[in-house]
Parts: sequence; C-alpha cells; structure tokens
Amino acid sequence: MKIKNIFSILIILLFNISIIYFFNTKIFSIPPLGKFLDPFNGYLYLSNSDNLPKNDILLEQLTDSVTIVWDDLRIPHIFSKNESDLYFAQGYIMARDRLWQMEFQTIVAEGRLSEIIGINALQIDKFHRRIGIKYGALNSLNAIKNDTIIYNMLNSFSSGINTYIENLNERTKPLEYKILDYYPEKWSPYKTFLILKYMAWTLSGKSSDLAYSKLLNQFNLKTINELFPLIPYNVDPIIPKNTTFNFKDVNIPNAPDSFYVSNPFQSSLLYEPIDGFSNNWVVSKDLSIYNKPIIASDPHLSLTLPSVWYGMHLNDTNQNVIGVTIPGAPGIIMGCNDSIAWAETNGYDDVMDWYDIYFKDKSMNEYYYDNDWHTTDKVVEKFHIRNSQTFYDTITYTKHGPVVWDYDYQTLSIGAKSAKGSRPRQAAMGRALRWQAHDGTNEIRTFYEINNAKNYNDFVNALEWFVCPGQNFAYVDENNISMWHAGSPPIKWKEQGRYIGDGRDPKYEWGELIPHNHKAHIKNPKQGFLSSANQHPSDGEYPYYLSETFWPSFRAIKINEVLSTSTKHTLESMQNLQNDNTNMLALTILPHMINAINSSDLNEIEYKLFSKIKNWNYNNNKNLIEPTIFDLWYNKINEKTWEDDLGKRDEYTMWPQIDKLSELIEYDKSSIWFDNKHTSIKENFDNISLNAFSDIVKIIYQNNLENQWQWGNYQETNITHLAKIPGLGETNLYTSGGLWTVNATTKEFGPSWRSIIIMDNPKIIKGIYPGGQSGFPGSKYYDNMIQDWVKGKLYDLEFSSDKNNINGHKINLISKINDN
Amino acid sequence: MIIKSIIFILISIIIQLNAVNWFNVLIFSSIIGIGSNSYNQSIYLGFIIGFFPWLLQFIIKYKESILLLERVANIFYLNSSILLIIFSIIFITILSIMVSISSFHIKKLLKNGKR
Repeated sequence: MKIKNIFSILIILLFNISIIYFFNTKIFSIPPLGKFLDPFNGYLYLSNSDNLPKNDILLEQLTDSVTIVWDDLRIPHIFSKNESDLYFAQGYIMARDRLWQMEFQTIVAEGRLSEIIGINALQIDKFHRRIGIKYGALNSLNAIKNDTIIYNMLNSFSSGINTYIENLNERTKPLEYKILDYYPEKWSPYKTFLILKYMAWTLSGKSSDLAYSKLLNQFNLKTINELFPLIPYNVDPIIPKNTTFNFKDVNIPNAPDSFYVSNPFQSSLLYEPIDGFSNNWVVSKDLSIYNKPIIASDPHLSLTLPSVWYGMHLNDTNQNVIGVTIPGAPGIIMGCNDSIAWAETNGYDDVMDWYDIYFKDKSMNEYYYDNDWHTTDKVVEKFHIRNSQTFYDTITYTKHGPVVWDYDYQTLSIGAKSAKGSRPRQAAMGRALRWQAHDGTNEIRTFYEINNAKNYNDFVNALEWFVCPGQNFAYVDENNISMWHAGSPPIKWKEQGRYIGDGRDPKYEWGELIPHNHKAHIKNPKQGFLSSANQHPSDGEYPYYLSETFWPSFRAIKINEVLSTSTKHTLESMQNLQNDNTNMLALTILPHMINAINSSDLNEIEYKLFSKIKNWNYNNNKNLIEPTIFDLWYNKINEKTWEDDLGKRDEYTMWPQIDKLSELIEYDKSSIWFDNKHTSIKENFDNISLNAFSDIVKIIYQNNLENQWQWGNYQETNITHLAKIPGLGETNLYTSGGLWTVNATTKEFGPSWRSIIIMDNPKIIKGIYPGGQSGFPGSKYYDNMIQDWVKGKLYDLEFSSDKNNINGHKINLISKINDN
Repeated sequence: MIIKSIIFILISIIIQLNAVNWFNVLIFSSIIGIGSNSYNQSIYLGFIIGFFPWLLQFIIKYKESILLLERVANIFYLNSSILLIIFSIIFITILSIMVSISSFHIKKLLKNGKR
C-alpha cells in the first residue's frame, strides 16, 4: 500500500475520532452537542422524568412504609411512622425534585465551581475558600457528632438523597448535569452544612468594615457618627419604642481609648451590601377578625430558578409540620405545626469582623498577638480546574480566623473586582476574617425543635441553639404572639467590629455570647401586634451593641401604621399589606423635593414631568411612570449630596443610608452636605433638587425612556437560573413594588416566599413563591406559580395529620415487597 | 433498496435505543460506509440512518416534551422548538453522512493499496 494512502486513511480516521470527541465534550459554555442533542439518550430522555410514580417504590433502607401524597401544587405530604424514615423520605423526595440545585449550591459554597465551569470560576472559588465557608461547615459537622438527634436526622436525610442518586445513570441524570456535563456525587451531612453556611454568608456576609475604616482615615468620629448614626432619626424598632430591658448582670467590656486606624486600601476585600431583607408580622387574637392570631411573612432574597424554597409537609408520630425549607436542608425552616407557627427575617447583626494581622516575616508562620508571637496553622487548598492545571492556595489560620488577604500578589486573586487603590505595603501583613459562621454551630437543632414544638417555651428553648446569622423569629400560637431577635452574637463594646480591628490587641477579640434570656424579645405586647422588616431591634434602650447598620425603617413604618390603624385584621387585609406598593421613601421626601422647585424655573419638557410627579399618589404601581421619575430623581439627589464629599461609591466607599438623606431633607435643608465643595457658590437642598431634576429629565429623553418608562418596564424583575444558563430563567416580569415598599420586589430580589397563617381550627394556611416545586425546566411545575406571584395571589396549602384528608396523588415507599 | 433502507433505519433505532453513547450511530454509519458500493450509496445510507431515527424520535416525543423543547431551544437562542429539532436533525445527518462517506473512502483507499 502506498504511503500516501496510509496517510490518508489515518487522517480520515483521526478526523472521524475528532468529530466524536469534539461533540462529546463541553466546549466553553456549550454543552457536549452530540450527547446533549441525542433524542434517545440526551435531554429528551428526561421528557417524562417529572411524572409522578404510578406505583409504590421499594426502598430497602426504610424500616417501615411511608406514604407520600402530592397535592395540586406538587407539594409532597410525607406520612411516616418514625423519624428516621421521615427524614429519609424527605431526602429522597427532595432529591427527586431538586437534586441538581442542592448539589450545585454545595459546589459553589465549597469553592469547587471551577471543576465544572473551568478557569473562569477560579477567582470566586478562591474567595469562597478563603472566607471559610468550608471551614465553618467542617466545624459544624464535628460539633453535631455528639448530638445524636441531629446526627441521625442528617444521616437519614443523606441516605434518602443517596438512594435517589444511586438509581440515576447518564440517561436519567437531571438536565443541568447534561448541560454542564458532570455527574452527581454522593451526599453527606457535610453538604447540608455547606448549604447552611452559604445561606449564612448571604445573610451576614457584609464587610463594611473596610469602607468604615476608609472613613476613619478621612473624618473624625463625630462626623462619622453624624453621617452613619447607630440609631436612625426615624427608627421604628422591632421591639416597640420605650420598651425597657430589665436584664441582670449585663457585662459589656470597655472600648479602647481610641480606635485602631487601618489602611483599608491595602486589600481588595469587597464591600458587599447584604442582599437579604424581609418582612414578617404577627397580630394578636384581639386584633384578628377570626379571634385567633395571624402570622404573615415574606423573606426577600435573590430570585432564582429553581426556586430558593421547597414546600413540604412532614408527619410522623411526634410532629406534623408544613412550610418551606431550603433544598438540601432537612426539616422545615418556615411554616407551622399543629400548635405554633413561625417565620424569620434577617436580623442584620454584625457577626463578621476583619483584623489586621502582623506577621513576623513573609513566611507567615508566626503572628503577633497580646505581646507575643503565636504560630499560625496552614492548610493547602487544592483546586481541580476543568481543562486546566490543578491550582494550590495556602490559607493561613490565626486565632482571628482565616487570613483572607495576605500579600499584594494575592490581592487580585481572591475575588476582587480590581486592584484599584492598592499599593505596596510591608509584606508581613494580612487581614483575617472572624465570622461567626466559622464556629461549630448547630442551627439545624433549632428547626428540629421548632418543628416539634408544642408551645411558647419549646419555641424559646429551640432558639437557644440558633447562633448565626441573626434572625428575627416571629411566633404565634392559639393565644400568644412574640418576636425574638435571635442568633447568639458576641458581646461587644460599642462599635466593636465597625472598623477593621487590630489583630495584635486582645481588646478587639470577641467576648462571650449574649445570654439567651438577654436577647431582644417581646411577648404579647399591649399594642397587639409585632413586626420586623430588618430594621433596628430597639430604639436604643437595648444594652448590647449588635451592629452599626440595620435596614432603614421605611417598610416597618408602613407595616406598623397599617397594623395599628385597622381594628380587626382579615386574611385580605394581610394580603393587601404584603402587596402594598406605597413608596414610603417618596411619601417622606417627595413633598420636600417638589417644594424645592419653582415651576417657573422649568422648561416645557421639565414642566411636563414635574406636573406628573406632583400629582403622584406614591404608589409604585407597575403601570405608572411616576415611580420611575422618583427613582431617578432621588438617586440623583443622593449622588449630588455625597459624591463630592465621600467620593464615588465603590468597594471602599459607601454613602450614608438613605434615611440619613431623608433626615437632612426633612430637617436640615441647608446642611453643609448639600453644598458641592467643587463649586464657588454654596448650594442647599433646593439647588440640589432642581439640578437633579433637570439632569434626570435629560437622561429620560436622551435614552428615549419616555416610551418604556412605566415602572414595570423600568424595574423589570428577572428570575434567572441558578447557574445563569440562558433560557432557563423567567425574565422581564412586569412587576409593581420596589425597594421602599412593603412589596419589596426589585430587579433581582423580592419576596421569595409569601405566607399567611391564621391559627384557627383548622388553620388557614396560604403561601406562594416565585417558581414551582419542580427543579426540572421541562416541567410545568418549574415555574407555575410565577404569574400568580406577580399578581400577589396566595394558594391554599393543604394540612392535616390524617393522610386521607390530603387530596392528591398517593403512593407508598415500601421497605419490602409485602409491606403496606 | 427500500427494504434495505428500512432495515438499516430499524437497526440504527435499535442501536440508539439500547446504547448509552450517542456516537454509536456514527460507528454504525462508519460500518455502513465501509459496506457501501459507491460514494452515492454511502451518502444515501449515511443520510437515512442519521436522519430518520432522530426525526422519528422527535415526532414520537414532541407532544409530551414541548415545554422541555422550548426551554432547550432558548438555551441555544433559538426561537422555537421546531428550529431546535431541525438543527438537531441536520446536525446528526451531516455527521452521519460525513462518517459514512469517509469510511467508504478509506475502503477505497485500502482497495487501491492492494492493487
């Protein structure tokens, strides 16, 4: 045979093999096309995967049979004869609907995304490992090994998930595994802790210490406290005003004589605003038309598909509980049982502090603390990167936690947006993170005990286990209402942790935890209702320092106003309040903004817009254009007020909360902060308001916003897919609400779960979330609730301790063939 | 030829129903290509064993998979599920023809080499 022919044959064979290899491999973000498009084995194989099983399922790990009833919303009602089988079935059924979501969250939390996505995810992986999510999860796992109840609960739950995984294969694995081309791993209790710690990061992951330290370099303490008051002027606290706290033995350490001043620029830790805010409230039976207490809640989180929450009803011989949980976590996080109902909002306690660490030398083997050198611990983290070389990162641990930032060369590598502003510094320094989620805490025990709680005392005892992140727990039973600002933050001196701390000085170290009976709480207040909307827990009477920042009180003011003015509340009035679109910021400052403008100073176009907003009813209705004008206008005023004094907002620079601007507008229109220091004339609020209005009119017309500026178009809520896979989210939702309304629906955040429970007999339980029970994008239950959620509707949730009272599709999970 | 074609289509379907790897159909195309008597025949057979099984499978599954097809079409920025189906069928058909024709070519080269 001619060599030419042999060569041709080899080329052709190589070409054919290359074709197969190429289309069998994920290239960048494109799925492996051959595998994926194949209608026999690819995505189309999953067409029926969401159908409910027709027959009983044999699961040998069960000790007894378990009945599952799926109702019309696809909420599974699980009836078991013992606790072990209950959590096993919960894991199995949850995995059936949400396995990919559960596992993907653990992969992100553990800093392993680059194993799936490739090199582009390395920065975020390094950041997640350095801040210690994995470290905290391992500590919690070790801590619960002595708690047999929780240890067994987690193992049963994991076993249920693993049984589901074991029955999967390349054909049947969920859609996203096919798109991203990987395979599910075995589940373990460690993964559940990863999810909970990641949730803690979402809810307590603020690091404004950096920005505050920058302010400390620029201004004196008086100015900082003026701009960033610990208690805002219009605070409407969670624990009603003038409540006294008669705690005995309050021991608060003394603050240092002066605060340590760090140079914030020498690291690139992001200033990350918290992205979890929420409402909940309770109404006593005296204010309820049903003569029974009512609880309402709507936690606002980043909106994603598959949904953040998963609805479930769990029943065994000891408990009968319904509500929502986070996929990957056992039990019920928010809901009600036969005796009580509860709901959480984010508490905003500052449980994340940064410390400057002074090392002996570049080796970082020793660091200085309390007049002595101490040895560091080092852990080498290994990063497997898809289609790339393995990467190693050594993380140094001190008594203040992991060193998130060390040398300049690592600055960019830990997830910073840029190295802007960083400059060389003595190499033997680093910045460590003390975060309460690093500790071996056991929050699952709280939910386990609440799920089983029979009364208020059980509930209070359960909260003692809850450490991080701080949450406001609203409570009702047939006769009582209560609110607990729970979590176990450390006792701090006033403003401890507001600025980057001195890692050498023991005074900056955290003290004991606040005693359980000293946590801010109240039961059955005279006013007959309680609410929380992430605002300050008290009006300043509470003796312990919790945080420098809470969410402004605007939502809380509206909620409390409605709850206090209506004599008897109904389901409808509660629902209306959840969907209330009154823009409370506008209600407070817009009259002043309008009064500042003399209409004769406006040109024709400006006058047209001015006339519109002048007659606005402060409602952030999606069809109106006024909310858009107001949003642009106040943001421009905010910018004109602070940018000249504090600089452009970035990771080092924050501006005062909006309630500070609102205070100045209401009470100090001639404040020096309104003066633009770059001009020769002295501006006041009136000048700023007019200039800002002229600017935004130009923006509106230059960008042709006038044809698409209805609030629903401007705000445009997007529910994106968790892995940002295009086409698997729901975008361009036309929504009302906003940041300063009780209905806090915004571009990417919003009420991730709305619920109202009336403690009648039987209970009236309503709920909805923006998504659906199924995590499978080809299912009608993937997003079936979204349009009704946009409309503000609620669904009836079926609840009974008798499985025969639940309507729906019923099967049994059986432990042996003749089981029944 | 019609019966032969139907038999090949049926074999292709059976292979794809039972094999986990999508590229088994290409291996079959390759075998068919080697067995072909001319370029035209290899193109024809490559076409039918690539085109028809996928088309039939999409037709059978279409009704119960419409939501899924729409979602997946969106992933590829296609406006409709029909476009996704057309794209998929063209994709496998081209590959099948390419493999079949190249296999026939190899056979031809081997034959030439023996002479």
